[in-house]
Amino acid sequence: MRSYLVSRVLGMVPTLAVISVIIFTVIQLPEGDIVSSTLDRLQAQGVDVTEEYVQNLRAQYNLDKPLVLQYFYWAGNFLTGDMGYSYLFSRPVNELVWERLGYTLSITVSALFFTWIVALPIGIYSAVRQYSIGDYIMTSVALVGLATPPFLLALIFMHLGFEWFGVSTGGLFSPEYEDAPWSWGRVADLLAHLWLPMIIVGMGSAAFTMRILRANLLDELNKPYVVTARAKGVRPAKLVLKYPVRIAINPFISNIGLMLPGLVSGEALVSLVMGLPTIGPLLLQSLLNQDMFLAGSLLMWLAILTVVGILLSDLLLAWVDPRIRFE
Amino acid sequence: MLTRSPRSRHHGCRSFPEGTRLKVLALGKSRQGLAVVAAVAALFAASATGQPPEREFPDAWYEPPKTASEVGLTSFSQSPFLDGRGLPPVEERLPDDPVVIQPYDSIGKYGGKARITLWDSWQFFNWEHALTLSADMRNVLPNLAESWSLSEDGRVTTVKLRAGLRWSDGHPLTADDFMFRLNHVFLDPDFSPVTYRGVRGCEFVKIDDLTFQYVFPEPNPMFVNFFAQYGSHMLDPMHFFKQYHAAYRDKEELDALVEEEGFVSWMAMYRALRDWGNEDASKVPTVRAYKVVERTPTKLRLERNPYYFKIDPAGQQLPYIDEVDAIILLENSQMIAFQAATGQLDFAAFALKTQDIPLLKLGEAKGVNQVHVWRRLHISDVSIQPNYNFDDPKYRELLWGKGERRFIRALSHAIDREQMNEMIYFGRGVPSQVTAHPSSRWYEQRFAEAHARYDPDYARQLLDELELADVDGDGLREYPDGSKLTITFEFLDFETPKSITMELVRDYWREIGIDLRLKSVERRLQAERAQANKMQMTLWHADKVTDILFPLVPDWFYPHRTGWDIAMWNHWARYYQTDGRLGERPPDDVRELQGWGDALRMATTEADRTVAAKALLEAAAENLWTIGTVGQAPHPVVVSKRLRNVTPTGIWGWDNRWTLSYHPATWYFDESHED
Repeated sequence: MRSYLVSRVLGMVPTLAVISVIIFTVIQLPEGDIVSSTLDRLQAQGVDVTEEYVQNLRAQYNLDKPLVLQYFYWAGNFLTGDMGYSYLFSRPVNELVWERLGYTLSITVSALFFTWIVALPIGIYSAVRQYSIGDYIMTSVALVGLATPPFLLALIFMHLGFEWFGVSTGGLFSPEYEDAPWSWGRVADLLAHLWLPMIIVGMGSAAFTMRILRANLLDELNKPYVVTARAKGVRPAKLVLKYPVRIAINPFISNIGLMLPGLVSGEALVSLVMGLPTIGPLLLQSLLNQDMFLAGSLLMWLAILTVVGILLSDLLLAWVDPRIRFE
Repeated sequence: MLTRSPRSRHHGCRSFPEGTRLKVLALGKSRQGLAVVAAVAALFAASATGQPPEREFPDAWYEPPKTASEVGLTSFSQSPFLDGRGLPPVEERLPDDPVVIQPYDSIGKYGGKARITLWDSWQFFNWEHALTLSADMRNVLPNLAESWSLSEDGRVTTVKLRAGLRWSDGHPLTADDFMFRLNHVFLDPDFSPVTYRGVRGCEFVKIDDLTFQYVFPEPNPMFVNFFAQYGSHMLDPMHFFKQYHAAYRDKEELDALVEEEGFVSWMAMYRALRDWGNEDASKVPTVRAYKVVERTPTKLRLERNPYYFKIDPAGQQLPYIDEVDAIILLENSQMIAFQAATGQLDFAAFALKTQDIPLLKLGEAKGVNQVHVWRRLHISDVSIQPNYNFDDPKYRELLWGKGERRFIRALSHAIDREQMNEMIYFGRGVPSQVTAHPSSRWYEQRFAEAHARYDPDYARQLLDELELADVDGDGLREYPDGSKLTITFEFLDFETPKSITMELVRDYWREIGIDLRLKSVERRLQAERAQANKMQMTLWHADKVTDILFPLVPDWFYPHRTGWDIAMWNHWARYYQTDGRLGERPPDDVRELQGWGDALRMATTEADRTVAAKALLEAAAENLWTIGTVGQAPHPVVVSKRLRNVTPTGIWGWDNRWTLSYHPATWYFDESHED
């Protein structure tokens, strides 16, 4: 177990190194850089831009150095915990990320729990009671959830909130709590605002998980060992939960690794629509403006989340399913 | 010939009388002719511009503001918000003779906290410029300055500030603050390696603490317009910013500070401070009505500037509203429209769009907000730019030929602007070619209507005359030599409804057999491809068309600059900019046009300016350098139920800085109608 863990963690290092090179390259791929997008703004204000000016700006931003050097400069600082400087916001990336990370985590983590809490029981129910009214209703809801992109859901919910209650549902706090210090009232207020983005972000993955669980469980339910157990008089609830569910849950666990980054990127669109102060809009802005350090660091974190998530799900799988052996 | 069009082929074109075209050429014969025709032009101007439009705002907004002594005010009062703060009495904080601002509707009362988004911070509490603009966008009026003058030769602009003005920290505002901005920001080689067009070659001369001059090597009579419109960028509190500037601070100390604050350079730190970009925003002194108290990641909190220099006719120091919360959103998200629709924002406009109006009006029907519909300033929301310098001889021949204009006119006549207006703007826009704004003294209806009539048959006839026939029977025309005629149209979709407009245009042009391929590009690509002359046809919105900015930057009317917003004649513009070193020599007619551009910029008398302006507008109407669609589009300005004194109509745009002449400092809350 321990040697497995060590080898997996060591294996992550080259993976992440390769990813970082890819990220850096892809961001540099399109023509132009932060300087050209800065120039757009200047030109819009009526500045005539000359070649010397461009060179000067490039030098200010260290963009005149060879790409390889730029890469090592970025990667080296990243390792020491300094994510560099955002030219777009004229601030260190660390600051920008820290002030938004909490909101992003609260949305994604709560969406993750929402997914499990909703998907597990419903998935089991609709497999055990296949083709019942309840199954049909849940299946329909799940299909809608699967088919609707989160940003559209956000728009629909905002419209409904406006139509039915005459309130806008954006933001994470009521005005009176926006800059209040943390208190129980503020936490309650946050929770009151959090549930909607949580449902919207989590809906897609909940529906997906539910469908998978249902399909897997249906496969298991008709296997001889289940029939035998049932014939021997094991209580139905205990029977289902103890044997088939444990097997059916495997793909669900192996998905956790992919779910984390999925939730983070789903959160981006929802936050854009609903105006939430999370990392998503920051990522979009930085990519649009080729703000190298900000975009690169955010993407790098997404990559780290994915890799760690996959490791976690592998470990969980091994723990849940005794058939899996460490090689 | 620029405007030649054989008579026989011209009969269908009733919208534009033929005689007027000759006038352009006659006027433009020679530069020496300028003075001769000036007298004619004065006549021309008087008859053509007619009466000024009916006044929709208080008379005071069209004239230099009165001061307290002029209206006989001697006692002043302040908001209770400022009581007990240990500030000097209000009389000492106000300038020697405070400026009296007439509210739109009623004298207000103090109090309240306004909730807006940061997008509207330039609109809800304006910058205070040394000079400002009249409500009809025709004249420059004093603001921080009490007067200004232009030397006879047009080279020297002298500005005299009001006495006793103060920054929000109580420090006096003087000529040095203007000097600092010009010499140490605009003309600092580190800060601005390339000088802004508007201040190139400018020299600052300080006469005394309140009087100073901008001296140019060449006549620059329109500098005052630039100074007024761009005024927010003409002064910085020197006593504060010099501690962040390399010219005034020890290099090592400054570097240490930059390092500690986490910036890449002192210039970046300076900019961030000035833009209220980080937590230190609360330290920065301002002359605006509100100063920053706190900046958090999600919000900018502001409160009234105790040294604000304006009062209302009752002697109350403005502004009326005590505090402002500006929510910080990176994107102008859909949420703003919803919050505005539900009355949760006290003012919202910048991030709203024409198509949001029905949603917003729902809120008004429920009685939670007020939706004012202003007009966007753009004379045309979409102005189509054919690239006359495109690197394809056949295409150039088509667009220009020997000054041939039939192709462009055909394209223009094929557009059903009325239908477009109904479909995109609820019928509330104004179909127009690209010309001066109706508020302009040089506006003429015939310019706006030139070749704008919807007449696809006539358009087809023009194309037939050009021997653009459909050879292969696919319903689309080919070049006379039988090769495919396909126009790739690259454009950046933002600010105005461009995509939907162009989809309509594509269909209209298909009707007359022109194959238009739309390609939406993002910002950077637009900038690069426009600059590199790679765009066959593109678009922009036609702003900068008022009396304030048109004489300064008549971008759509003659080739004089390039940029991401103007990609129709790069080579000609470059030739003009570099005195013939680079680019491509334009045809004589276009050279002549550039001469008129110079004349417009340098004219020191109103009559000369009018001649030049009319010549440019006339030529644009006749030749359709760009094709206009629908402009002056409805723009929603949503205010909460309790906010008063916001004008129900107005012009929304950059030229007049959105609300600069509508005096947001006089807006106030009337809570008595709250439920």
